Amino acid sequence: MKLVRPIGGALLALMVVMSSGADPAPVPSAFPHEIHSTLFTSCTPCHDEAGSDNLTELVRVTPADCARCHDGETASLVAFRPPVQGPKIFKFSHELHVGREKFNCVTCHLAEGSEGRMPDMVRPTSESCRTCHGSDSHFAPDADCTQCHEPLSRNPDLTVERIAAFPHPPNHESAEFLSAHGTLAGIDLARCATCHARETCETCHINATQLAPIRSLASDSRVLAQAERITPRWPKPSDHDDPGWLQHHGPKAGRAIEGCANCHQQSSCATCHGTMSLAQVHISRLPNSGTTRATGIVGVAGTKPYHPAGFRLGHGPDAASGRANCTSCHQKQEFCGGCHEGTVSTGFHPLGYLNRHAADAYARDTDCASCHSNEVSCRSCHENAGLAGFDSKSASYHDAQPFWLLAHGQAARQGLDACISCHQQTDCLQCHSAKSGWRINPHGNAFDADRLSDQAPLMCSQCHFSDPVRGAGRERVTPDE
Amino acid sequence: MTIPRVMVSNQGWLAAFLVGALSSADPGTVSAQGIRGELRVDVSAIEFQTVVRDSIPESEVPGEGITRYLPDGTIVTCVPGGYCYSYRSGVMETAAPISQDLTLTAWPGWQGVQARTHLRGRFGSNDLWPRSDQELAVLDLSVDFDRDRFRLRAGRQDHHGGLGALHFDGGSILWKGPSTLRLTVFGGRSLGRGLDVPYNGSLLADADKLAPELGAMLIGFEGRMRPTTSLSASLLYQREIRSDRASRYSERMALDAGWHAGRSRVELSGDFDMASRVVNDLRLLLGRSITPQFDLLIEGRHSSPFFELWTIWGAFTPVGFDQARLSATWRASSELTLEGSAAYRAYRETETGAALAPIEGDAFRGYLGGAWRRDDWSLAARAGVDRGFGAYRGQFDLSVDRSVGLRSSLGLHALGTEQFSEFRFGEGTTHGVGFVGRHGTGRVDLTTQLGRFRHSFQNRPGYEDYNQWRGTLAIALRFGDDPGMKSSRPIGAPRS
Repeated sequence: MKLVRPIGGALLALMVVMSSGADPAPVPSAFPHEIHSTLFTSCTPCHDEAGSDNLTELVRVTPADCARCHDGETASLVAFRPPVQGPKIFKFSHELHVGREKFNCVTCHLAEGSEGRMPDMVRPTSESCRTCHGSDSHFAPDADCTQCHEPLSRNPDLTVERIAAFPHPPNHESAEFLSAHGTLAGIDLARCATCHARETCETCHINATQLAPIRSLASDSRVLAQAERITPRWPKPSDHDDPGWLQHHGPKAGRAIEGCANCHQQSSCATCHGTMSLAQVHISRLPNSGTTRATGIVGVAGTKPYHPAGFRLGHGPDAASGRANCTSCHQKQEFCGGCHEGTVSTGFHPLGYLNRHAADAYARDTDCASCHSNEVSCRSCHENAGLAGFDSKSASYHDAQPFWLLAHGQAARQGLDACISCHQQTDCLQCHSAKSGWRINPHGNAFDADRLSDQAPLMCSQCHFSDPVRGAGRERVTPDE
Repeated sequence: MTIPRVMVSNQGWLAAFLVGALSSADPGTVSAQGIRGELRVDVSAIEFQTVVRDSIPESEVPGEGITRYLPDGTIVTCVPGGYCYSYRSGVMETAAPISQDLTLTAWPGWQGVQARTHLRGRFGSNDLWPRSDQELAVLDLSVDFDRDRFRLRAGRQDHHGGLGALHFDGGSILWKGPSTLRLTVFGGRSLGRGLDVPYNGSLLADADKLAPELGAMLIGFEGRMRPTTSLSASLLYQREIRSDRASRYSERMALDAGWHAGRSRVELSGDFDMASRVVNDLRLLLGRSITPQFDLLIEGRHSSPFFELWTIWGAFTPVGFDQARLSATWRASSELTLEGSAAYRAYRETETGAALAPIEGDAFRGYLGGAWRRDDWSLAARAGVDRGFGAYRGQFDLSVDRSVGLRSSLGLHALGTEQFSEFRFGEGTTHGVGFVGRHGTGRVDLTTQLGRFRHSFQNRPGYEDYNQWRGTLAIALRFGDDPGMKSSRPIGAPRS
């Protein structure tokens, strides 16, 4: 007796029985064999007309056969209705079982509790098969479907409704089955083919046309109704939950993007990578949308799930230190320049930002000057808005501070970059110059005159006639002078 | 290498620019090598209310002092013996700045050689919008020679690092050391921050009476290392020296480092003004995913503004502020994310003795927000407040966005802002609603925004409330491909 191969894990194919349901009761034969037990000595006179004695050419009895005796004279008329033969779904050989293995008919067909020389017969079920073909149950994980069943595609008589009503093996519903079925299909795809066709796989596999096992399955549109019962699922692999997964998935995807293709199509990547990414060389190997009925995991267009909230403002350290491999997604020169070179309109700042930028400028959330020159961009706009005066004496901005002249020192030291957005250097030099005006010393205690004199002597000369540190004769003098 | 900033006198230049750009977009002429490019046109139209200056003789204004009030409450600034000045609303005008960017990257077919250019034309709104007078600027024009161990680059280029984008005309050498070590040395004629033109160009000269007379030379180097997947660091140094070497314009250094492991991350970044010995920016950020759904971030920061040494601003001894920030993000479900942030900053002692007129020495800012996404829909809401030195702001934002297929999205955004300045009478509120739309095919991207805003003023006589339209339309056309990027070889198909 050949035993089914032990295969761990889930059973892929449905074991199909002659009627729907997991394991139906045996169907009694329509013919009362026991009544005729004294008339027929064995099965062969009726079922092996050729007399081969091994039932290689099985004959099914018809009403005409009955009428040979039940003609109304020899015996009363009877209305015999032979069992309707459904589509052949079993792969069974009487020649093998009776002719070669010498099984008796009653081995499989004997009705339970019946006895005698011509007992009642039943149509065998999968249970009968498993008596020898050793699975614990019809849908046992180690059951070898192919031992009893033909592939679905070789059963052209099966209707769409019948296929749609195929019973579900319990293990198909388990979470483990989803992740393991690919491996199992690779081991014994024929088991899958008992109930499934290529269209079944295409329900979920967007890369169905690229996977050899699926390609090798026959196409059979009759399974579409069956497939409609399947809710496509693309469970998230455990490594996708790693907080750094989005940032570090690149190398893995580059090495084996075939694995990604089970769930992702090109548009999945385009959500973040765009279509001009350097990663496109890998992404282009993913299937395109519309290849199969499956949709796969698709990101929402317009969202950038890769970057956390606030990344646009805080990406500096990541980009500068090289931790984020920006160039794997962005064409560096073009992309960075999009903001850092100050594209005019639909760039960095959101709608209506102009009306609310003041607080951000004071807080220095971003270095405004890296894109917008204070001297050039801010001043011209503030003049148009009436914030900067057309000349220093007519400025209207500081009207809420009656003692502004007294307060402006603190304000200037705390937010000098904001002052520059309206004021020129010459505005301040009207008072803060050793050359003219009020000659008020603007330097704080932390002012390092020595160093700045060394670094930028021309800066000193804006306010001082001579080197304020070393004097005209390079002698050190009091900085205040 | 000197590439003069070209000022154009009529729009014919721009037409030629467009025609040239489009004609060069035919990749077929160099298909054996490779060319990739983008032509982007941004058109904006912004209504705004102008202000006009009024003056009346000082003798006709009641009261004394520099700041006085007219009978209707209008604040005037008076010049003793002269006039008192005030501002009031003027007529509505519309600015229509237009910028055109053409970016081209070409591979001539020689191994490792790449050429690139980025041209920008701006026009449409003289005097009304910054830098929208008619000009054509060359932002990038460089050639790369890239090999396994090094890369040479020459021409107008920029270096992006811890100090932002440094623009210059010159050359750079990148050495690709062992493992992830990368060393770059660069130098050339410096282009000003935020300007992309030499220091002694007309832009600064028009904006500041003490603008530099001479340009500057830039030298610098950068080292980057990523010894493990969780640790990375870079160090950047740059110095700008006036071309006659009489003075420095800047000497700066930046340090950036990040450590990310599992659910934790630490980031350290610092910008240092070495010439003035001032720490411009120093941040230490600690982040941790407490649970897979909950992230917490703590940041400590010191910030002090940076000023180039061609200005006198550094001599005023500006002080910085110290800030602590706490942010939290809670992914309540796969669809709902909530976040909040609060920051407090305190300015260091200014030693100005302004006891008679104290101003704020600290500030608080915070916000709460949330986003909900399901299928093609996303809703977002955020409300925040800034209160402290310089400016107060309260604001809210609401948005509803919907993706239409994979290529398009539509959004309706609403916002409200109330703000006033510490130094100025009157509050202003702005409420608006706007439409945002995007459509992209990869080759053609279309982005548009259209908003309607209502501006209201309180306590500012002479300023009239008004409605404002703001709209932008951006079209980007991309053409060509990188060499080797046309592959669509399916998995399992043989390599050609």
